[in-house]
Amino acid sequence: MALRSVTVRVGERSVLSEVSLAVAPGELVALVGPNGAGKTTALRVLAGDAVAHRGHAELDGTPIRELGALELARRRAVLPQSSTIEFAFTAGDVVRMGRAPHAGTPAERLDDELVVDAMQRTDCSHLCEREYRSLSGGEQARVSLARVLAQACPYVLLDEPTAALDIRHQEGVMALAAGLARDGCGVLAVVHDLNLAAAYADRVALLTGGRLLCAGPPEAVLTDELLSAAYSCAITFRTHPTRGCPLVLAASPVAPAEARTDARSGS
Amino acid sequence: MSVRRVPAPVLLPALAVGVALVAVLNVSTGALHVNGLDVLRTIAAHLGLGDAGDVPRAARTVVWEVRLPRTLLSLIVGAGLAMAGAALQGIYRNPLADPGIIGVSSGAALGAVAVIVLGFGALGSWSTPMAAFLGALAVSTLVYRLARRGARTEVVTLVLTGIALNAIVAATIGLLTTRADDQQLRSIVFWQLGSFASARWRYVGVAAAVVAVGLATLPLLARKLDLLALGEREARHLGVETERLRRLVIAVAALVVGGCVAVSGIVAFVGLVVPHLIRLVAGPRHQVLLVGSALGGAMLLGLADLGARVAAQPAELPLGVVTSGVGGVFFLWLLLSVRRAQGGWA
Repeated sequence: MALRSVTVRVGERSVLSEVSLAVAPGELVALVGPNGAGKTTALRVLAGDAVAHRGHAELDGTPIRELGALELARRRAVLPQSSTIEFAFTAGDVVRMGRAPHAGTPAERLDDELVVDAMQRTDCSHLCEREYRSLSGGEQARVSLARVLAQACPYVLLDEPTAALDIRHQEGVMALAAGLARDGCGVLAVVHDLNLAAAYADRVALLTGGRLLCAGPPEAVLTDELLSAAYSCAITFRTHPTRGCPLVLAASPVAPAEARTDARSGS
Repeated sequence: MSVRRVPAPVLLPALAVGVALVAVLNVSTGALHVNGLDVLRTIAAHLGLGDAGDVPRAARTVVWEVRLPRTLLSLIVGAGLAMAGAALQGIYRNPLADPGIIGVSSGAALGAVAVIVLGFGALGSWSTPMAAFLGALAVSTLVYRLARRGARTEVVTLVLTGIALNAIVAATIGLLTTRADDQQLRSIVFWQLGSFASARWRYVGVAAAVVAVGLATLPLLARKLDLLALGEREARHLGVETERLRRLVIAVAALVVGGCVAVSGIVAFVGLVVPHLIRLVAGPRHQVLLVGSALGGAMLLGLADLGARVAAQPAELPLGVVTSGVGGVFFLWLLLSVRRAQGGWA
């Protein structure tokens, strides 16, 4: 799964410029960068939601615009930032929707098994009969992730999968993403928390101002120099006391006005 | 809190029995009472399944020529309107969408009113239904086309385009009525409030044909409609060609509603209320919702027509007065009680 020199413009502004990034089967790539860097746009191009003005996205070597929605749905699953749902579907109904692309294929007989398994792995089996809209934000996020797991695709795109979660579930979800990669999936996750990226990702891709600054192993990307430049904020590092991976910390407080000039909604 | 729902294997047969009971009730009730057995014998005789022998001739005529077509038409139109409403609510991801939203009803009204006022009668008794049907298809096609940009439509644009066109059409109808004489005005009002009083077998045929198209296609799209509840983008991620689905559902709904409205006039509220009720008892899955709405709509409109016939005997109430009056009050009650019970509307 890859972006090949992708440029996306909104009006005159380039939100992505010449971005090339490949995700191979078996690796978890964390896409990091400040708000407005183009992370979600990059993910949308890969998902087929946004169209590249130049360059293209491809899946197993085929440009995705040549694949139909159903063909794509059998090969890559997408977790959006947040899902609102219309009508009173239960959490179980929602997870089962992940099986829809496999209707009428031999994989259909795995439906029940995969739905149950996905809900167990995301710690939401007990929510099965509850109405989705009555769940808390964190519960909804886990049910949505279960839907993505149930889709059972070789490629997975996760847009901020940990955003609504408490620390235990954040770790749980990242471990799950890493586990998918170990099982052979190619996983791309937009992650805001650099420490989660450092702890779980095989590779980290750092995006800023629509450009890919650097992509490589966490130790190579999460450096003082690169992060300070990308985030316009002094960054300091420690070594994680138990895990040994880099621990990223803001070096000094950022004045509110400074923070505001950089903040843009929608990342 | 888990959700409690009536399972489909209970609900659907129960509704089917309800439809059958309403049918028998409608055919046997009226100025001339005909008992259920005589009704069945008359029908059997006409189907070549026996001899109506001692059933009085008057009863046979009333049952076969008047009440049976009228009853069937009310059931079929109710099924069509409610099922189309359920599918449109799914497409619009909005429980407040009703068949009027795509311009079907106003288009049909425009066609009918134009024929009534301008006196176009080349097709005889078919002139008004035909014009209504063509008007329905024309306006709903226009709504869809205008809302479309770069091979995509957005739901909000579609809704707003529908509102704008409905307003323009209403203005045109208003303009036409200024040219109408008293007799024509009565016809217009009568048509816009809906009625099965002029039901004939050939109308039953028309409605049955279009509703059959709906029944044959919409339930096949049920799972895709479910996925659309997640959102347009999410549905595409799960393999739904959303634009194609929307176009198909709007086309089928326009055909079904257009065909129904053409032979019955505008029957308000059925397409909005029935899907709500079914969703409330059976949950939102479209497989059950579409079939349940068809059965529920048939039952409800059958009862409404019975009400219109008997409430003010010997006169008849306009059907729209019954469906909107009773339906509106009932809907309000439902809305308030659900809000009390759940703190929000499902």
